[in-house]
Amino acid sequence: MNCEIFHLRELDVEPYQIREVLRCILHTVMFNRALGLVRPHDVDSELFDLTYVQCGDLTFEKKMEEKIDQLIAWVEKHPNKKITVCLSFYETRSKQNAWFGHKMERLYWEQWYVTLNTTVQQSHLRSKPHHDKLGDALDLMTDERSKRHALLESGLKEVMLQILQQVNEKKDHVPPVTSQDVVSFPYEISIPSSSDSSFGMDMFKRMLQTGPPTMLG
Amino acid sequence: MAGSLSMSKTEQIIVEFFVKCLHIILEARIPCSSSNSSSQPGRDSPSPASSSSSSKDRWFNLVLGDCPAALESAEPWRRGPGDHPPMVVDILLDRSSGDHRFRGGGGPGTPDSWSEGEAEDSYGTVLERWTISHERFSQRRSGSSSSHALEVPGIYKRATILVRTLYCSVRTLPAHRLFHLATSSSQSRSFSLGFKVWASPPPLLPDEAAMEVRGFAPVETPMGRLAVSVAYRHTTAVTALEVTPAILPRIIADYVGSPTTDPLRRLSADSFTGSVPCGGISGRRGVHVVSVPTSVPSPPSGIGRRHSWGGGLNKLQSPTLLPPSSPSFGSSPSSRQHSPVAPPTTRTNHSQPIPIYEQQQQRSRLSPPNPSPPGTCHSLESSLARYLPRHSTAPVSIPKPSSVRGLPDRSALPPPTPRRSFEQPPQHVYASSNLSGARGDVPPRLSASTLAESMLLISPPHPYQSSQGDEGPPSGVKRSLYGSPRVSLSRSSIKLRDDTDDEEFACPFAVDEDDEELQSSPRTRHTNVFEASGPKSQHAAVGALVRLLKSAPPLQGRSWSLAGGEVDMAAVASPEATHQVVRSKSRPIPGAVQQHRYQASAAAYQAPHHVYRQQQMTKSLKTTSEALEELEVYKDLRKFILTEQGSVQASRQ
Repeated sequence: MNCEIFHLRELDVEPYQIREVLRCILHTVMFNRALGLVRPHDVDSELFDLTYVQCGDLTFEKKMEEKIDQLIAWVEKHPNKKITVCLSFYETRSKQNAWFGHKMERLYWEQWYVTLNTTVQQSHLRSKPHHDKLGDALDLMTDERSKRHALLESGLKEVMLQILQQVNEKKDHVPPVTSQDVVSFPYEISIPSSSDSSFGMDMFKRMLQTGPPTMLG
Repeated sequence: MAGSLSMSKTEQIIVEFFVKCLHIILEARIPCSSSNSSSQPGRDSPSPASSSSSSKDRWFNLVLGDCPAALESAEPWRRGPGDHPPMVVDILLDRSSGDHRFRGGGGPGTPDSWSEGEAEDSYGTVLERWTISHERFSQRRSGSSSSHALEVPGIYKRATILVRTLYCSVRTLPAHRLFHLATSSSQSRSFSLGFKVWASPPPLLPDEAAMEVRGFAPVETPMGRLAVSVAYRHTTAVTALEVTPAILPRIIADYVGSPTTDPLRRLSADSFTGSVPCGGISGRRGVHVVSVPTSVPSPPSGIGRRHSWGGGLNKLQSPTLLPPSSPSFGSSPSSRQHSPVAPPTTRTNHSQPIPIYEQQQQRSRLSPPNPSPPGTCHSLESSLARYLPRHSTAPVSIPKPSSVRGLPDRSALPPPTPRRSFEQPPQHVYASSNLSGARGDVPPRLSASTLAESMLLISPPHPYQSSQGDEGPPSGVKRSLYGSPRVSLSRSSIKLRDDTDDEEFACPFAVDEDDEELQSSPRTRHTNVFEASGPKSQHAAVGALVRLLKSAPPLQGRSWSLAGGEVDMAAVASPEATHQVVRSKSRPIPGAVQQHRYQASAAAYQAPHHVYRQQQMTKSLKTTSEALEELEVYKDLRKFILTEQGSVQASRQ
């Protein structure tokens, strides 16, 4: 089974926007991949003029919020860095190892990479010392912030359209539904670790767990 | 056998796919179309969801609740096997009523007719056109490569994913914003969202054909391909149709502390550069002077500005939004409304926001103007005249304070200014009062320059004032400014206000400008002044009299008349007593009062000359030294008499 990897468009966010952006994206992906019996829940975004849909799975929501909290804490320690969050769907298979017996392995069949460029805006009073009037500086700062917010909102909408397009175009790799749960496939949310290790280390660990990719689907 | 079973299941999937898609679309576009709203949180409890939802609602593992409209409209597609024509769902914007209009669907059997439902007068604006179809192949495909994909579970899985995608996509389109507005507003709205289900839809109009199209990846079936696509209006076009917020920004003229509610703010020195005395104005009248820049900006054409006024809500329109004129609806094109689609206006109780001037009209009722003598204050008139338009051809008199009783006759008030005369930016303050001199007259249209010149904001009279009745309302002021030929600014009203305020002064006998003007003005004018001015001049006259008496010669035991009134100077020991005597004589028979007023005023007017004459007379009679000598003589006489008495008594003893 091939693993479909989707790299979503990069978004420039401020630290306070990270949570809402990830909620929109991750819930949209999960709703389209949770093929169990779902009673959808529409949510109007708190920061943006858009509506996303939740699948209603409390376990997923809890796990996602925990990951976002860890990510925000990491961002506070590592400001102005590009962060990548990965939502992966896999299926477990037991692999029989001649040496170690049965071993459960994860076969990732789909991965969604969300890339966020976190920026902490500097005070314009310092950046533009020639502004004598505080009011003008504040107005300028407010205008620029609103522009960035509008850009982020339009970018987020494009990301959601991208998700809806790709989640529907490629459906053949989705494994059959065998679970009665709302979230019918196991998943994993990966964030940059707090040990300052690069994201590549997480990928390396995943490769050790999953083993080499198979050629046959 | 297995094949037929599979085919039947596939057919069932296709049919239910049509129904589910229609359900998703209507649930996200038509308010109150679903009894079980999807906004309720669907939590992690499969058993409650499975138990509460019907079996039909669980198709594609998506529980949406009951939707009678969808079930009824999709019924033609449920009937029997066979080719399923495409289902075209038009989402319509209907501006004709505030209630939701439910429109039925035209099934395959009735392609060109409305099904049972309400009769309609206009089709409305097509916001979206959804097309759900199952394109059958000419011949059944055969191939082992995709055989597993054509199995029922695979078809059902992909159809489930497509349904999920459709559910999310419906909420990303611009028309979803209107649905939000329609569902979130608790008040009646002037628009409604409707739908129409077609089997053979009419072609879109050119402007509608230019809508954006979004398609979804189809689901392959053994017989064909399940596909969903949508043609929708662009964001800006839908945005123009949005209703205005329920709470319209408008000018609140009667806020606490405003001139309309707090008539104390009159003629403030900051806003009025004339010579109007500010200190003496107690604010009992509804006259305010507000400076307005001479260069009045023209009303902006932006939507935001019109929003602030509330008058341009219906003008939010796009020139490209035209209702369709399809002949299939059984009406001639001329009967259709080809006017541009106006946006749904407001969600308030009114179809249009009440103009501000009308609101003020409802609040304020001004007293009618009454004739009064011309104004008395030259300086005030001249200064005010510089800032007020001179529309009058004849002065307007102010009623005499004694003749005005009770509340003014409001029925004689001319109507207030209509709002259309005041389409100006909000920073201007307009007079809310009548503009014409007659009742029922339509006030003239006010130009920007006139507004710039006219700076008086007239407020209703203070309730305390109206109950007193002894002070005429500033009716002359009220009808002054806006083109009434019979109206002029009445200084006398302001003057009258000054008069009443002077009562509060501690020195009622102070000489004021009136006295000085009286000295220099003709007698007839003085007559009018004293008749109209009343107590103020009387006090001034008394004061003058007192001054006269103070400067009068010492008591000589004789009385002298003061212009016809008898004053016993012997009895007068002090100026206050003099004042009291004069006052007692000038009390309350109106005719006598007036006569005394005139006489006292005349005496006051002549006071300086009379004093001079008295002094001259004193000098002619006796000087002080002579009086002292006479006093010495009296002393000597007294001493002599006392000594004589003492000697007589001593001799007797």
